[in-house]
Amino acid sequence: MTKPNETLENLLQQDYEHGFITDIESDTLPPGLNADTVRAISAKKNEPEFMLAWRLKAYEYWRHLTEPHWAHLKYGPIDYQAISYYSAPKVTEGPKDLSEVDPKLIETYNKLGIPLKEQEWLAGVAVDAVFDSISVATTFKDKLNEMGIIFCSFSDAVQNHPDLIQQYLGSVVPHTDNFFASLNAAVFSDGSFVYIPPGVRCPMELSTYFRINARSTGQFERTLIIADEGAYVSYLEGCTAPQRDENQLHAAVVELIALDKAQIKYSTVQNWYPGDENGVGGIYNFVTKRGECRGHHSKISWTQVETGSAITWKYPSVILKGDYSVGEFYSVALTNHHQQADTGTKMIHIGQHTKSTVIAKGISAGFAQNTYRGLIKVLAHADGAHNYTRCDSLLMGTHCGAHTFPHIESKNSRARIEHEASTSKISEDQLFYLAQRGIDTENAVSMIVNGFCKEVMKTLPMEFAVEARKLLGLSLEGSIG
Amino acid sequence: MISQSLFAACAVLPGWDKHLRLDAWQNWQTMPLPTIRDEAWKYTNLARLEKTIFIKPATTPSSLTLNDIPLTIPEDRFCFINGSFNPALSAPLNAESYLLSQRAWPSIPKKQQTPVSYFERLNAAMLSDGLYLDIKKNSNNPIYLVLLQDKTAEFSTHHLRHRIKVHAGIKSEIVIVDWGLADTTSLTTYVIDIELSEGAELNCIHLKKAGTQGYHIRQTHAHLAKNSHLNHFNFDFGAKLSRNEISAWLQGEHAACQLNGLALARAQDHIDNQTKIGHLAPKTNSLEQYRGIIDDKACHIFHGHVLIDAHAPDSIANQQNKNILLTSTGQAYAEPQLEIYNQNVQCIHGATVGDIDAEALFYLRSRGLSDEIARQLLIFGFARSILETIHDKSLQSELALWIKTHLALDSELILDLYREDDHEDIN
Repeated sequence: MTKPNETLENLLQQDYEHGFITDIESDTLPPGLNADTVRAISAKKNEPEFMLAWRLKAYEYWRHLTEPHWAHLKYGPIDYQAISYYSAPKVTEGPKDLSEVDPKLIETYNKLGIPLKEQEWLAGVAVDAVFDSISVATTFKDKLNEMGIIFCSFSDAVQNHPDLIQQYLGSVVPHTDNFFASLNAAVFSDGSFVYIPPGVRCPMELSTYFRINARSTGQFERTLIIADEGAYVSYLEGCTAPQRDENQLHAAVVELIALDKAQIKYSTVQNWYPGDENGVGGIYNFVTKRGECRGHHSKISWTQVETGSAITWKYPSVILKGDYSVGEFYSVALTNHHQQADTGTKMIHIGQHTKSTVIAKGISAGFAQNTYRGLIKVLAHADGAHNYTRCDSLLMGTHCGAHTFPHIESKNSRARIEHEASTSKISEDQLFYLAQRGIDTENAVSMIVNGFCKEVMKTLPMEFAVEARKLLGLSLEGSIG
Repeated sequence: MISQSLFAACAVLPGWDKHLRLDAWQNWQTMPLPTIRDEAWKYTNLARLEKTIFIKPATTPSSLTLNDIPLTIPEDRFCFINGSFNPALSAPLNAESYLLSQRAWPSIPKKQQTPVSYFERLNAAMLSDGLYLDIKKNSNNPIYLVLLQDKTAEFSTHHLRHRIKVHAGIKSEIVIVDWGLADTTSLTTYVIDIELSEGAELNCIHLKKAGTQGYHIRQTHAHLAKNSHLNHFNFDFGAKLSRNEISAWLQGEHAACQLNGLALARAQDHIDNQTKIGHLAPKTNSLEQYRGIIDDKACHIFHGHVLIDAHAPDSIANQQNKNILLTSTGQAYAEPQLEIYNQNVQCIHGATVGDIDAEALFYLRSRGLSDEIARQLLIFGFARSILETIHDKSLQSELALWIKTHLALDSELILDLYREDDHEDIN
């Protein structure tokens, strides 16, 4: 039984399909980080005084921090002075519609299979595309405007809605939160901003495609989503990156705020370049994502499909402050070759009768290490809080590892916390059974993996589910039946 | 916490390696006290321990009798009072044994002699007594190792180290009792090395009830050879700070271990259970069940780490932790962790924290039991499922009585249930 399955091994040897570099002139700052870099970024973006002050505060704080190494990850030292902290495609004026966008950019999107036009008209998805660090196209704005929804790039929001930014920026992930969040606060270049006014149900899935493009440019986005009382929004984040040799740092911050009876659904498909089969190159993905259910009966739901990046360090969390608020976390993390993922969630129950569900699926193949790390914390006043956690790991190959590090902290006798986990592999029996029924190994593996992840995949919005299944499949085999 | 003068005043065990002792003391002094910023100590704050000044080494044994503790201690026993061996109360029978004070450190492997952690170093530096048990014969009766502390132990520190070796193919049972007769402020460190040779089997039952002001830190390290089997039971009735670190290394094929534990924490007790199971060889098997009942302002921590090495295919690990939190002033922390480097394994773990199951309570109420009695039955039933994993029936019923008294369960139904030897699981 221990004999490696050759077919399986072959399936795991797939190249990264989305690896290419678009050649566009970039407006890039020289590498290095000091207070002047922060000032330069702020000046380039023509930011108001409060933003610069906040960035500088974050930079000062970051200077005194040391990089955390508690995660189950191994990587070489990162030289923060060798990174260029700002890179914007050279556009003299902001484009008014797609025809003004550099055709090369459009070409990149086409290669990725996300033609903006098609998405705009056919799929009904508004796309705020981030190419490297600056937004170049925002569609569907008018329609959303009518409903009072603000969906724009972060820099636009800073210019046009400084009051909202000032009120909410850093209120969930403060600039003192952790090493990478502080770094992001100091140097973030752009990102998305969403505000849904009271009682409005956003009629479409809001979507942003992030791409890392210019060589040696760390990408530091910051996303802020606010759902006001009774509002609903579903937000999609997807990532693909061109193939390159050196490691790139990515430290994003996402903040979600749900007020009374509001709902936010945040879905991610992450497929950045994971490095080659020898573990050379790949993206370092250190992300801080956190949502706060500030109002009663509010709900925040995270769904993530993580197939890319050489290193993933990511714990989308929910602070359940409002009574009867709900937090959800659904995750599929797939690691192959030399990829390492340390991912999971934190659910902090503060309000009464708060509820959280955590479903995490980890798949580890090749030489990869896949870790679930979670925290469920119930404070003394969270009467009737309930958490259910299930994390399963699937191992494929004799050199990979799958680890589960949950942390449960309860200070309330009326709270109920349940945690379950299992670890297994694709057995020869399962493959034999399917082969017997005329299903070849490739399809059998994909069926088993898909079945394993089904609980999570079904929570993805339709538009995303197809792509997510594809990405999951690409990382393991040629096609999915 | 412990001054140089106390170290100097501490009697050196005859034959004890002076260099090792001095090295350990020096290393201990240079090592900072673990803080809540250290992952392994994040829920256990030692600040209060640091502020407590201990002034006495192990004190001279006083006139205690075994009747002072509510447990029948049969013959074949070794008694230590306030950290020192007491020949008057001891009655060794079969096991080949010698005190560390007679032949210190005879066979402890070199690499285990070098203390690593903070409290192991302190233990090696200040060692007050210990026992070397060389078990070469099968025995039907358990060997008792009893440590008693009375009120003269106020502000003293005791440091014991036992080494237990079970030879190939031998079956044995050891019951270790730590009993604080008074609520004295004292610090006890305890290091126990267990070595199981090929095919050996050991039941090790550890009962601990330190006084409400006691600091009790125990480290148990077990090394298991091929086909050997360890059943370790850890019953902790609380202390101001009780920490039990247990590691089991399954080094030979088909080695198996069972680590079970029950923490009964009430008042201001703080019980910290840290276990580690290392599957280092193929076809190794581990089962772990830890339960906690937390009342008043008490706290229970369970940290369980199962490591499956790349060289341990076909291993099976099952780890369960359940906690009943009876008050909202109490705290429960659970960290059931799996670290797996081999695909041919079957591993599951689970953890729960909550109050008594409302449905079970309703069921019993609907059968005419009062709320109070129904709750008591359920609490006892929760503890009982760990209790029943002990094979020794007489010890089981004695422990049942302890548990009943300790949790102030007054329902006669509980003991009736037990006396009838009703094996139906009421939980």
